[in-house]
Amino acid sequence: MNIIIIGAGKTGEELISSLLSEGHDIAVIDPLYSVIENILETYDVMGICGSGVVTETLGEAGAPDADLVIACTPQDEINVLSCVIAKRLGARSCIARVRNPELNAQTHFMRRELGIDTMMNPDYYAAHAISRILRIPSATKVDSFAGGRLDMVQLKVAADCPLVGTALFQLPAKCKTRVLVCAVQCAGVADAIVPSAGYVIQAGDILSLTATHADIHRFFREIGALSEPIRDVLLVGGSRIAYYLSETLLESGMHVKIIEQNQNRCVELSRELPKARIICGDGTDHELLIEEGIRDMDACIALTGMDEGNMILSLYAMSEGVGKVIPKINKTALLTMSSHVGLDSAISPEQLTADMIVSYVRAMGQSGDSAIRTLYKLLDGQIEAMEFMVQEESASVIGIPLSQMKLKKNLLIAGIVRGSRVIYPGANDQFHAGDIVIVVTSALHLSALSEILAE
Amino acid sequence: MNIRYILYLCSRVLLILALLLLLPLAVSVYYRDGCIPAFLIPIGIMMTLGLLFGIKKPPRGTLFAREGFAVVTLIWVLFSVLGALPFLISGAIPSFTDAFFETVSGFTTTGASILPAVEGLPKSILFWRQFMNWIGGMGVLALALALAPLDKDQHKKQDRSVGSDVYIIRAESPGPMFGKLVAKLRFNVQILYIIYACMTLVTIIFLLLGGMDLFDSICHAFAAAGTGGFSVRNASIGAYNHAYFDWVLSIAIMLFGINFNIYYFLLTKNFLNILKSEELRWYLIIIGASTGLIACNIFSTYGSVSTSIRYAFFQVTSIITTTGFSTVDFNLWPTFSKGILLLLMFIGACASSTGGGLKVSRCIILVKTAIKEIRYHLNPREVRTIRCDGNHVENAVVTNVSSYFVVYMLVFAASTFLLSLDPDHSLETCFSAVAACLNNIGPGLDGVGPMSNFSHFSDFSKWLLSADMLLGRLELFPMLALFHPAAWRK
Repeated sequence: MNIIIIGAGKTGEELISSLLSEGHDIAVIDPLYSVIENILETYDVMGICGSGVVTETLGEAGAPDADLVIACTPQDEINVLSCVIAKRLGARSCIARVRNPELNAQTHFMRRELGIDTMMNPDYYAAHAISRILRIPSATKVDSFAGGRLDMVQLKVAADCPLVGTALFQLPAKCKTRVLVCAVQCAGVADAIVPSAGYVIQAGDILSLTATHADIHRFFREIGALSEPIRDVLLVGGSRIAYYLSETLLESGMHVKIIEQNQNRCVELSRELPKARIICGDGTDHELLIEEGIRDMDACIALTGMDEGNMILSLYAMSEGVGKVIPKINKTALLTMSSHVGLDSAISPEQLTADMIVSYVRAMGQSGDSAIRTLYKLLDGQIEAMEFMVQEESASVIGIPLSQMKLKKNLLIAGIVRGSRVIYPGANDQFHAGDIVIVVTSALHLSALSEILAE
Repeated sequence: MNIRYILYLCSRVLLILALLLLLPLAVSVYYRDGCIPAFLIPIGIMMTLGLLFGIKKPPRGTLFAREGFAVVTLIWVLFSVLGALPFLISGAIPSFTDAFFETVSGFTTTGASILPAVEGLPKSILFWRQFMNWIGGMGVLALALALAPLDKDQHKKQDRSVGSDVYIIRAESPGPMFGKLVAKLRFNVQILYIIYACMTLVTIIFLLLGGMDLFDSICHAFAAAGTGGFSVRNASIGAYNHAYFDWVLSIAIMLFGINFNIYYFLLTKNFLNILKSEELRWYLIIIGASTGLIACNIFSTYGSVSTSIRYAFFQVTSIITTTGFSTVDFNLWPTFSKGILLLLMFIGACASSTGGGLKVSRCIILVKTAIKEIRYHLNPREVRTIRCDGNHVENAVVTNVSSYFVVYMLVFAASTFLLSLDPDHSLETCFSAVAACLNNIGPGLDGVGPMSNFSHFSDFSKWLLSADMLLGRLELFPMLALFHPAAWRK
C-alpha cells in the first residue's frame, strides 16, 4: 500500500519502521530538514521536507493515490487538518493522532463530518495498558483479547520458581489450572520461540501465557507468585496519561496520589479528578517522595516527560520496596535498556500506537476474509499475538478439526472465544463463524485468518 | 568495521560481475578471436570468490555509513583489478599497471587510454572496454541493487536495522543531493536503469540508421551512454568524419549528461518540475554559449559556419558531459577555445546523470554562495537564503557543497604536484591530465590531448591517475573517509 506519514517524531519513526517491515511504500513529510535527512539515511522511504497542511507538499508525497495517510505531528489541529486535506485530495483512508481529550470526545462527529476515519490517542492506550498490568501485578505485561474475556500475561521465571524444570505438557497438572504457554524468550538466547509441548521451563525464561482472568489468578496463586492486589498508587507527573489512568483506577476503587510540578496543572487535575489526591511538588525530590509515603505504596508509575527521569525514579522506587513500578518510556532504545536493568513493565505509548496502526493497516488490505482485529507484539516484536473474528467467507478454516488443519510452523492457536465461553483449543476443536480466534506466531505479518495454513 | 559482512556483500556483487562478463565472452565465441580463456578465467575466479564468501550470511547484518563507504570503495577497486584480467590474459595489455589503469578508466567512464592503437585488438577485448563504460556510467552497485537486493534482511526485524543500500547508492550516485523518485530505493534504481537502457538502445538504432556497422554502433553507444569516451577507432569519432554521426553522438551524450530524474518527470508528465529545474536550464545555456564562442573562435580555421558549429558543439558536449570523444585535435585550437574547454572540464554534467566533474548543480550553489558572501560584506545585517529550483537550499547542503569544493581542490592540487615529479611533461600536460582524470573526462591538453594518450607516464603516475579517476567517480568522500583512522577504530 502507499502510505503517507506526516510528522517523523517518535511515533512517526516507530510507524515507519513497523510499516516498512510489512513491505509498504512510504512517503514521510516533516518540516525539519535534518529529521528528513536522518530518516532517509535510516529507512528506505521517500522523504519530503515541508508541512502536511500544504496541498503541494501532500501532492508531491502522492496523496491523491495514497491508501492511507497517518498524521502524527505534535499538534492535534495540524493532524486533523492534514487528514481533511489529504482526504479531499483523494487519499482513501486516514488516521489522525489526537491527544486532546475534548477533541477525542467527538469521534463520531469527526468521522462523519470531517471524514477522519480513525483517531489514535497514545495516552489513552498507554493508560489502559498500565491499568491492565495493575490488575494483575504479578505479570510484567498484560494484553487482553476479545473485549477482556481472554488475557495474555508475561512473566519472568525466577530461579526459585516451582515451574523450573517443568515441561509444558505437565503444566496444567502441576498448577491445577488451564493456562497455555504460547511464547518463550529462553534465558540467554536472542530469539524468542513458540514452544512445543515438550519444552522444559528454565530459570530466567520469559513466558507469555494466555488464560481467562480467573485462571491467571489461580495460576499465580498455585506457583506462589501472587502479589497482593494493588490499593495505593503513586503517579509522578500529571500528564494526560495520568489523567486517563487515574480515571480508570479510581473507578476500580484504588487510591491515587498524583505528584505534579506545575501549580496550574495541579488545579486542573484536582478539578477533573476530585477523588484523587494531588500534590504540587518536584517528583524527583526524594524527600518529597518519602514524605508522601512512597515506601507504603503498592505501585509507583513514572509519567514525567523525561524518559531518563522516569527510569531513575522507578529504580529508586524499587529500592524503596515498592512492589510494582512502571515507567513510561518513549525512546525505543531506552525501552530495550530498561528491561536489562530490571524494569520489566515499561510502557511505550508510541509502540502501542504503532502496533494499533499496524493491525489497522493489515486489516485494510483484507476484505471479506477474516481480517485481523487486534495485534500485540511480544518479546521485542519477534512474536505477534493476533485476534481474528471468523467470517462465513473463510471456508478454508471453518468446520475443520484443528488436528486436520495443516498449520504454519511456529504457529499456535492460543484460544477460541465463542460467545462468552473461552475454549482452550484441543485436537478436535473447530472454528465456527462468529468465533474470535487468538493466534500466536513467530511467522510475522499475518493479516487474515486463512494465512495460518501452511501453503 | 564489520569486515565479514563487507566481504559477504562484495562477494554477492562479484557474482553479478561474473554474469556481466558472459557478454564479452559471447562476443569472443561469436568472432572466434581466441580470447575465450581471457574471460573464462576471471569468471572462474569471481564465481569461486563469490560462492566462497557470498553464500553463508554472517550473523550481524547491520551496516552503517562507514561500512557502506567501504563496500563501495572495495567493490570499485575489486572490479578494476578483476576487470583488468581479460586484458592481461589475452595479452592485449601486457603490464598490470597499464591494464589496471585502462580498466579503472573504463569503469569510472573516464576514457583515458594507455593504448596507442586499438584497431588491431581482438573484438571481444574491445567490446569489454566499451561495456565497462556502460556499466560504470550508471554504477556497478546500482546495477547489482536493481537486479537483486544486496542486503535482504535489512528491514526484517524491529531492531532499527539501517538501510545499508541507501548509503551505498548515495556514495555511488553523483551530485550533492540524492533525490528519490519513488518510495522504494530498489524500484527507484530500476526505473533509472530502464531509462538508461532504452536511451542506449535508441542511440544504437540512430547510429545503425547512419550506416555504422552493428559492432561499432553498440560499442559507441555504450561509451556515449556511460559518458565514458572509449572508442573502437584510433582516431575516435573523427575516424568516420561524418556529420551525421557527429550530430547523433553529440546530442546523445548531451542527453545522457542531463539529470535522469528529468526523464522520469517527462514520463510521468510532470512538466512543472522540469521547467523549475535550474540545473537543466544552466546546463543548456552553458552548452549553447560555449558552442557559440568556440565556433566564432575557430571559424577562421575551418572556414565554414556549419563545420565550425559541428566541431564546436561536438567538443563542448563531449567535454562538459565528461565523455571525451573527439572529432578533431582541439589541441590545435586557439587558446581561448582551449580555455573554455578547460573550464567546462571542471563544471561537468548534471547531478544524477552518468557524467562526472563538479556537476552543474554544485556550481550553481557555489556561485550563489559567492554572491551571497559578497552581499554579506556590503550589508552585514541582511539575511539571505540561497534558493534553487524555486526552493530554499538547506544550510547543510550549502556547507556540504562548499566543503566538497575545498576537498576537490586539495586533491587536485596535490595530484598535480605529485604528477609534476614525472619528468619531461609540461605543466599544461600535468594540469590537464589530472583535470581529465579527476573529472572522468579522458583527453586533456598538450601531451594528453585527444590525439595522444597516457602511455608515456611512469608507473607511479599511472597509479596516481587511477586513484584520481576513482576519487572523481565516487565523489571523494567515500574513498577519502576510509583513509581516516576513525573509520577503522572500534
